[in-house]
Amino acid sequence: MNLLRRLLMPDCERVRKVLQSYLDGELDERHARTVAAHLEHCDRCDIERDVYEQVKSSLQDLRQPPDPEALARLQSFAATLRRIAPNARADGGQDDDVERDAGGDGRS
Amino acid sequence: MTPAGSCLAHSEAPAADPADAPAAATPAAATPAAASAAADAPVADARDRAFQTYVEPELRLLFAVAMRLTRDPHEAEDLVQDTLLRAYRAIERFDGRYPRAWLLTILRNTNSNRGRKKTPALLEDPDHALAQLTSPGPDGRDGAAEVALSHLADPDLVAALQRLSADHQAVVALVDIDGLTYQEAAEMLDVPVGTVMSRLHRARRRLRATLQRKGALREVMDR
Repeated sequence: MNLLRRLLMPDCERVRKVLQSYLDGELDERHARTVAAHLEHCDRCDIERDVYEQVKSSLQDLRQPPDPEALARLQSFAATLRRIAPNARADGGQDDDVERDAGGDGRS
Repeated sequence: MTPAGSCLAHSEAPAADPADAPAAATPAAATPAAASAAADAPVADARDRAFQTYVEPELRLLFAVAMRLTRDPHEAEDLVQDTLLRAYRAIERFDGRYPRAWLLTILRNTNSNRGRKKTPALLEDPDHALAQLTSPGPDGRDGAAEVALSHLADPDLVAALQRLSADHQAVVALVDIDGLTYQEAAEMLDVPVGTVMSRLHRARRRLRATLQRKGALREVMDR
């Protein structure tokens, strides 16, 4: 690796601090590009990436498909809710705190 | 009326559809009730579209997370139904950003309310939701994380996960197994995003160390 490239590269320790966020797609684009460029040229960090990808992949293998019948019933319930919309709204009120706590922007 | 900032304001509500005009001109529509219904129709349509756009695509995720919370398929289904009902009522106030986070917060609060009604003592326990995600189920089955793991053929991974603390198991289950983002997991657990990140990263480091000790990870050090 030439000297200029080494000087321009962020050090491995900084990359490893954000490596998991990078693999989770949680880094902003600029930082993600920097990490990706580093991984292209740093075998040690690339090994770290590979190990964490294995861990993540193993965990993702634990996903189980939902019960299709339960999912179908929920889809049907959602459709029914839309059809009886006025009634669904009219009996609201006692649990308004639940929605209010959820906030208007998805942040509590 | 559509609230400012509501997702309904951004939805594609038809503007003065000429097809609606004949109904409004009929004698029936001249009654106050009919006129009111006609006036509410575009809002109801927009609400339905918003519900279809933001809520219905997330049913699978809601059910998966509800299963983690309840560890019982029937309870999970009931919980999601309650969540859907409340989401429908609240959708006019939803601004269209972060629908998953919004829904997960409703799910969490709904579950919390249901638990409160069943067992008032739990109201005093701020860690109840977290404990629910990882503790043994009411029928003695394993905790939420283990439910998803119980059918696995990888005993090393199961053992490594079970050695994690409850809060670490919960965040791994939500992010790595259910596929939530850090922000969504934070909403679900009611903790800051930074807490999710630090717990998750620490948990994975521990998993990695355990799996490497057991030789369960592919060896890449010799390349």
